[in-house]
Amino acid sequence: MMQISRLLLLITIVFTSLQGYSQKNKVNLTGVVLTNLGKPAEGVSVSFKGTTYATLTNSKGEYRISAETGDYILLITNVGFKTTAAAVSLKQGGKPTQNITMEEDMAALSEVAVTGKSKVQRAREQAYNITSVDLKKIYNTSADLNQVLNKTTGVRIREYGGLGSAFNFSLNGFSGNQVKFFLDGVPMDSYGSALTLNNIPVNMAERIDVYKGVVPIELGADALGGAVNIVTNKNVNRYIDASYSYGSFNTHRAAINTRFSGCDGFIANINAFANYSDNDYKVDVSIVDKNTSKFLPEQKYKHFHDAYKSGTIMAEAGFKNRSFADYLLVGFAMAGNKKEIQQGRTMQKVVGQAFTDSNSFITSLKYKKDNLFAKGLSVNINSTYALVNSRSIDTSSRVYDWTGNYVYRQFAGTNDKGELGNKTMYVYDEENAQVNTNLKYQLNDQHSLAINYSYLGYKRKATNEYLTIVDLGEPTINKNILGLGYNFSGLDNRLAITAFGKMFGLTTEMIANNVTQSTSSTNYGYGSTAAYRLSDKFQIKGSYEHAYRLPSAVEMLGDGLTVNSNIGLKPESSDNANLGLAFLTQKNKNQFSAETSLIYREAKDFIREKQDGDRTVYENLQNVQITGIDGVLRYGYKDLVTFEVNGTYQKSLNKNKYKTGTNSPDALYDAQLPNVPIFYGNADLTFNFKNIKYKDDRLSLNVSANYIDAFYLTWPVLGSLETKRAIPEQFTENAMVSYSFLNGKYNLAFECRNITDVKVYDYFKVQKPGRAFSVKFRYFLQ
Amino acid sequence: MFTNKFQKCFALAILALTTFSCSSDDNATKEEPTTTNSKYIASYWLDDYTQYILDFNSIDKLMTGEISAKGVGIEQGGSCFPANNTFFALSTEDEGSVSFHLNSAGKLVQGGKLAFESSYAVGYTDDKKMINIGATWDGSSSDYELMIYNPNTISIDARKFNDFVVSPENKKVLYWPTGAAVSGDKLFVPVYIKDVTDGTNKILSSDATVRVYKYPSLEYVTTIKDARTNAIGLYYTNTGIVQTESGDIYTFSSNANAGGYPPTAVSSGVLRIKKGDAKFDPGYFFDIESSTLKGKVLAAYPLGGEKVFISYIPNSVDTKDTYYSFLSTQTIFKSAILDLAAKTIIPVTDLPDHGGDEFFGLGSMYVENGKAYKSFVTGKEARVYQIDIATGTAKAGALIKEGLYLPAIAKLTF
Repeated sequence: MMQISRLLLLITIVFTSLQGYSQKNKVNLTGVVLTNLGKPAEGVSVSFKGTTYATLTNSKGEYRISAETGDYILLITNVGFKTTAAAVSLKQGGKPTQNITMEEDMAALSEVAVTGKSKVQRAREQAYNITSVDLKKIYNTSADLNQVLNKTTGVRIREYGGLGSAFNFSLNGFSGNQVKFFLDGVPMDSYGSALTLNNIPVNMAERIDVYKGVVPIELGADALGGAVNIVTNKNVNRYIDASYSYGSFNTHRAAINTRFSGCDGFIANINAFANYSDNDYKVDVSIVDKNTSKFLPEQKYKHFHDAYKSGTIMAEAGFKNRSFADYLLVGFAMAGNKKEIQQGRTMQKVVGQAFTDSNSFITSLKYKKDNLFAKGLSVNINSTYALVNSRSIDTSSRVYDWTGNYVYRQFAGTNDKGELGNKTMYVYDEENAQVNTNLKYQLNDQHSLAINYSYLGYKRKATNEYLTIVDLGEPTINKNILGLGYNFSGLDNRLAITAFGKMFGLTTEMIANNVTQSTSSTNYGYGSTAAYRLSDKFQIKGSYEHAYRLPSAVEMLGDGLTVNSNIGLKPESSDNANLGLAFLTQKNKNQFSAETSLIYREAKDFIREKQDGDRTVYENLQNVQITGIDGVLRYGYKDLVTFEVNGTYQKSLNKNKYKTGTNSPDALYDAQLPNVPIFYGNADLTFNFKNIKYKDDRLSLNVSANYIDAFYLTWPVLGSLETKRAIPEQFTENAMVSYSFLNGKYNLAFECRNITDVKVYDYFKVQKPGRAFSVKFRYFLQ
Repeated sequence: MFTNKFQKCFALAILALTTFSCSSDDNATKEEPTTTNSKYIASYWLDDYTQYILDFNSIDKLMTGEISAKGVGIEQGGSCFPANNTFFALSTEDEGSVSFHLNSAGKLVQGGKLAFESSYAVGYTDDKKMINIGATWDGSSSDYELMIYNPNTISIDARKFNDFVVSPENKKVLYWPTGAAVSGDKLFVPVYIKDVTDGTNKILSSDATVRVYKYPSLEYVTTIKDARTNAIGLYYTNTGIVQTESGDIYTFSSNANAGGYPPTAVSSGVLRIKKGDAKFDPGYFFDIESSTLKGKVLAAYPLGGEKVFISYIPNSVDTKDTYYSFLSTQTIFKSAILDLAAKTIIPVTDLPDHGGDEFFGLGSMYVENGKAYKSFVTGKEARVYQIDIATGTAKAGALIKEGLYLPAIAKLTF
């Protein structure tokens, strides 16, 4: 519908411009369209009712529309806003102006069907290779952000178990620290383990933007292979969104998100959530007979030491739309968690006492002002200061088995092995200061310049009761990243081009054994993106970046537990190129879209974890080439049915010509890397029924499926396949039914994950939960 | 030791069989009998510590072309040892130790699994079993466990704890085992001394020392010492003690930085414990350091009869910079063949200077028909070499593609 009106609009624009040549008695009407927050509204349709005269506003909200003299009704329409009309009179020789402020359409935010281009669709149309996940559609699910993201193309999240377990986020072959996470543009690196994707409930955010490969300079990051930006809801002035869910394995999740806005521009946000689970799901393992040392046949055993709890409260207060600031917000957040550990690297090692916990305290300041000092100059500053205290405790000499029984370790002594490795009581306090500043100057309709400066200061103090030699002292890491960008948009917004350069500075200092070691390096990155709308239906986009990633604190300094330090670690670099094609069409009430992208990554000095005795150490090593293709097809019929299917195929090849530390040829040159998922996909089908019993009630039925092909823990080319340690091929199905009434005020959802109760693995011999049920109640009021 | 003996016995049996069949039936086909009911098995380690167990129909496969695990081999962790017609992957990892054998179709298959908590020294017994010694690496406990692994039943036949403390007054100075060998009713465990007082595993200089136990009861008998040379063997390689065909036990003391020991004024050399004795033979010392080799013996592998193959480092090369370098691929080692009874030396020729054995020793040399086979890292590449036992001449064999070592080579029958 909206699509057609857009098409018509574009046609009209073309006609209008043609008319511009043929008719000379026209009068120009100009003006600015602002949102109710006073921000320029870009891409808004401006037309004269009953005529073919129409145009779109530019990024400053400005428009210019020409017509013959006469009286008209000016119509301003945009998704998410109420249509605004104004009477105008065009007289010969006059220079009329008409500024409009649009009002938000609250209905759009209370989940009433929105057709046409949503913010998500707009995000997808950026020149970056981006996948934007619309969370509003799935607010009733009990899933956390990890489970949601795991359904998107190019993304694979590998978890070690149930709620709160450690996980590894991989994006088109890059993983771990190579991908950066942001909450409203603020890096989450320093937030601690209680504020990660598997803790955050879906209700807290509006959408998630997944940048694959090239990352915009605004994020100020040194990501190698992409970034994930969680965008919270900013448009509703006052609301409460409270939810509670209960599910299998004694899992409870509660969340409350609320915002208050005063008429004087005062605004306050509170987000709080808590998670708890016993994670006492069953796994299939064999235990060892204590007398004969022989392995017994596999049986089902329950996890007995895997409970997780976490809690977070985030509060933010300040002003919006005041003369000195578009917004100025001061925030404070507190988060904590405790995770019991059930197993070692595989299920064969059973743990019954070790645990980790952490506490984070974060303060933040956010400031934004458009037209500061000069028209078109906007500034945006985000800064955080975070203190994180983490502990890893492994002091038990017990050797547990899956029945929950234990014996004392024979070869433990008093000071030797704990359950996972050497005994430890490792405590570390981290101090993080982070500032991200963006300056943008809009030269005119088509050209703008942007500067980003971001600083990260990190300091750590570690203690370990079991370490006789304290080797780390107080290490510090300082990162400075400067970005310069240029944006062009033209041809009626059909073409968008960005070019940018980045400078990465890294200085580190570490005192070990009374010797001060320091390093410093400066690297330069650059890139460009372009998107071109071939027609109303087709968009083509391409991007390239020469990216650097500076090593993280753990990679350089270790964790005192299982990872040794390597202060000399160099930044890793990658050349990332993407080519994407998007197609969107609508006929009658059917909507169909398709997107595909090709990726190419050439990574050098890849930072990888290497075995170093009992521990591991990060080192610059591999040269890796990643190529891949992913695609998604979406179909919708009115608001009744939506269907999506996506798939990702990627190859990660070793490009080391020589064996490590030698000059002998590496026989595994060009071989697929081990332990990297290669092919996976998802399908999702939703039915929505409205006005079933009451007016404005809504029933949704959703089924989804996930497929992943087998991959191997070790080099896939080596060994005969049937004997290899494999993460097997898996197919899982989930279902959800949710019912909302009173216009979305009350919501009830029932969900079943892994319906067929298949054995699920993300890691070798680490079984994940089987079939799980949950029920969620959600209350939404604005 | 037993594998070698076993292989010899087997070779002899085949030989006898061949001769017999030939003499009894002149029309019998003269095909290669050694390849019909047997296979060669090798474990193959990669840089990243993954291991593939490969099998070959003919010994020629070790001598020609390339050895690669591309698309072949059983993926299996652990240290592999040939044990009574099985190939045993001994692992203290969570996945357990696995015994492999050839099934009736000649396919290498998994027999059974066993869990070991600790393994620091291993060796063979006369009755085709294996000794495993579990210990606490940081020295916080001096009670080590000796056990007898039975490859036939894939189970532990006997186990016994023993206190490895040097003197009961100081629990921080301990003996650490470097190998094991059984001759008759005695188990010999060579050891070095380490001091864990300051939390580090400091190795002290010591005389050549062997702890003696009854076999198979595993009861401690005595600790014997000899001041003519110093500590025997290397940490984890189990290559410091060899039983020859006569049943005599020979021990090898490196007195070398490369072996991880602080050298002393004594010489690197070989001592003997005569069959049936529980003491060093006072009339026997084979001084390698001042022999024509002018080197320090790091590891020894039985070649049959009274002969051994040794890896040594020239005296001039062994400095503080080469400390523990038996673990490195630096090409600073040479090789020779010793006749231990006759005290004669044949230097190995045509074998380039090579790297150390890393953690691989016992089981890494395979002997057949007067030839010995072992892999060596020689700088830019790693290859199998065939060494003629009579002449000491080495011949380059297959190139090892992805990895650097074949830690165990054996022949199994079905």
